[in-house]
Amino acid sequence: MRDHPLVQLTLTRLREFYREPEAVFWVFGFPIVLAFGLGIAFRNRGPSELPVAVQRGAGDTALATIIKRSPQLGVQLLDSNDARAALRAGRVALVVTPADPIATIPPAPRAGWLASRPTP
Amino acid sequence: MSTPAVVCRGLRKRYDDVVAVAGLDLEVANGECFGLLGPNGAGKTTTIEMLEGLTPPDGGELVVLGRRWDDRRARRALQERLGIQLQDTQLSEKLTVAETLRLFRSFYRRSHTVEETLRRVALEDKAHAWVGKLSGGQKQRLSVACALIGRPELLFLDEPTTGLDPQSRRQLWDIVADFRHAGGTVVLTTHYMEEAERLCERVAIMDRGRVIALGSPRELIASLGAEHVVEFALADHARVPEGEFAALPGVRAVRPMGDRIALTVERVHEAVPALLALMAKSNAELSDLETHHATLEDVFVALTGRQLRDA
Repeated sequence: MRDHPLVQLTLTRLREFYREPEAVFWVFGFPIVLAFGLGIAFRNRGPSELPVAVQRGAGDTALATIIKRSPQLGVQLLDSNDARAALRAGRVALVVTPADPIATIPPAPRAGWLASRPTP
Repeated sequence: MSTPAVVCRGLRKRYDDVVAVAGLDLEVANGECFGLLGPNGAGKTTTIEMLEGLTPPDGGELVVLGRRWDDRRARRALQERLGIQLQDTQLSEKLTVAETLRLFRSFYRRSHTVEETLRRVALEDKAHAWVGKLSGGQKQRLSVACALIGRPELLFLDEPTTGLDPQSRRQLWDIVADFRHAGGTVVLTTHYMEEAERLCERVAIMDRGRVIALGSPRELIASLGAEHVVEFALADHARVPEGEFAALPGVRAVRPMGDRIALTVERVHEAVPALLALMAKSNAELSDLETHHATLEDVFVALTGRQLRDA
């Protein structure tokens, strides 16, 4: 069986292959290196912090503290005009205006899209 | 004598506008060593490739070991009876000698063992060396070993010793002699006359696709009519009519070769003194003088008027 021409030809091909270190590298090593390289370059990053502005006014600090509890939200206090400008320019995704009903909002956001976002 | 190993009649082959072989008649007897001689481009390799079944002839009849190559069913069986060494063999450089032979051995139904073949070509101590690390002579011996491992009846060697040093050449000659001793038939091409004189019982001298002389080396040399060649050159381009040389005692032929002249003579000891006397008489001087036994080279030059190696 060992002397069958097909066996011998196959052995020959294998020997020629593994005695050529460059060929072994390009066939086995390089694809793995490539997979790591591309994996690092295109990996999924978690959602970045969402900038939220809180308009200055009565109770703004309390509101900001509540919003800051979520690690996914970045909070800044802005004057009314600045807050609108920032919203227009896209520097913040949301402007929160403090008002009386704030007292009735629960301590952590629960409803709406913020609550349904997955934590990374 | 049994059936001849090779018979060909009117063998022809042309490549586009080049006629490589133009009507070749040959017969190689069983157990004989037959040499095809000739300059580069004479058609030796084409002829041997047709005999090996690698190149189909354009015309003519060809019978090898009693079979024909165009008989498809006989082809495989015939191939197993031949040992072929091509002019230039590229074996895989990354295999060892033993692995290469084991590969070739697997192609034949009956074969010698790897060890025995290595011993025949004196490569036992290189069995585990990579082919790429072998010297030219060792590579050539390995390619002969690949040809021998299938127990061939007929061995084709295409310029087996071209480019080898004298010692490697001798080793190859010994291998061929051993194979012949075991009853094998050999067809070889060469452009070394010495090799043909030494190995071959009969030689065919080819030129431009034809056989221009056929016979044993001794017969061919004898056909010159004399056994010695005297070559000389005249100093200061002195001119002596050729007729005067031809008239010297024992001179059979006069051949001008550039600024040299070659005389084919029967007895050197008579011709040389007469030549010197002629020089003295015609006030000419020799700038060079040498004599040698006539060789197949001289036969070729006499037949074609050209040198064999650079024709």
